[in-house]
Amino acid sequence: MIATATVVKTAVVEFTLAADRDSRYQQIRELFPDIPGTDCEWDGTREAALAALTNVDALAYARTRNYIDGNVSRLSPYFRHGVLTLNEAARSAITQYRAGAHKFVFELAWRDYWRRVWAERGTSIHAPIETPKVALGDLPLPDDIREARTGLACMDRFARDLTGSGYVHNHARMWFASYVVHHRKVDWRAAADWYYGELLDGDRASNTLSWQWIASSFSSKPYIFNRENLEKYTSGEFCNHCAKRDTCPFEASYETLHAKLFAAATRP
Amino acid sequence: MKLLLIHDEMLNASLPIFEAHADRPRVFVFDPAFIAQQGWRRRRLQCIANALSSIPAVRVFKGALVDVVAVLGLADSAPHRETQVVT
Repeated sequence: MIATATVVKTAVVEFTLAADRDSRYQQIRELFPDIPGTDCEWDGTREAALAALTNVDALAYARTRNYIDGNVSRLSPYFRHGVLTLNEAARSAITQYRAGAHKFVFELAWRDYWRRVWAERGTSIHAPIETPKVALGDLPLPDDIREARTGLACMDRFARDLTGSGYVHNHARMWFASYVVHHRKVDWRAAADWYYGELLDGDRASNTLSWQWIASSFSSKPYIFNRENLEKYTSGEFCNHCAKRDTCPFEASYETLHAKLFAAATRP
Repeated sequence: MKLLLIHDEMLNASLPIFEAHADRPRVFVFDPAFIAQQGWRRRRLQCIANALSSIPAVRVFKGALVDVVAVLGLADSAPHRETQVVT
């Protein structure tokens, strides 16, 4: 608690972290009363990270990771804060699953790749790395997206996941970013900044470069999806009760969607 | 004074740098200006606090990083020595 803290200089406070989690959370609330947000649902300790690593099922991960209820590792907050290293995770999976660890290690490699790009390019990753392959919008992030009020059951859930727990399934991150950048024409940098702050595992390299990948300024084409794809990987969880199910903006073939989103301004 | 300044990407006492500088006081700073600039939410600070709780003997501060380093340097009994920081 604050009462146990020692003020060693007017603007500097040293404090002893409480041993139990509830008290630690209260310390943070008291020390940073102006910082908004929910409480952390993640254990975050090294012990919890090692336990989570032993629970990784690399075979199930390879089969089901793209499904919203699939077997994902949920290790990203640990990687982000160094609580677990990518090498530890890769070694653990390879030792246990041999070649069956391929997909899991492949995804770890993406995270490593983003970090290497960041290390080489520094803060320039916050500007487009390549010329976007389609015209991008520059609108500010609208409140209905930020506040989960678009009326689209899927996107509103993904926004609530973000601002509620700070954790969003990877496939949902891709769908959401595609909606924000390509359907709503929001400036990807504004969206990426907001997303980074809300995430529990927000990482400048992975987050910023993934938004660029979606936008097409760090990939060969824009990432788009359609309703069929979203329904498949969510088992219709959102579409079945969506208020906009009859006017779904994702209900089209990829060719039609591409033409609708980019035809007027596709760059050569 | 020589410090091991722990930053938000190294919250793990089994990392080699902790052993390499085992003699240095371990310090972590919640810097309000940095936190605001990052846009972090409360849950992120709590997540970091959870991770810090499993690192032995770390001194935790709230304040501007430069002020904390200055305070720790000034606290040294030999003020002519520079504060040395390893991250």
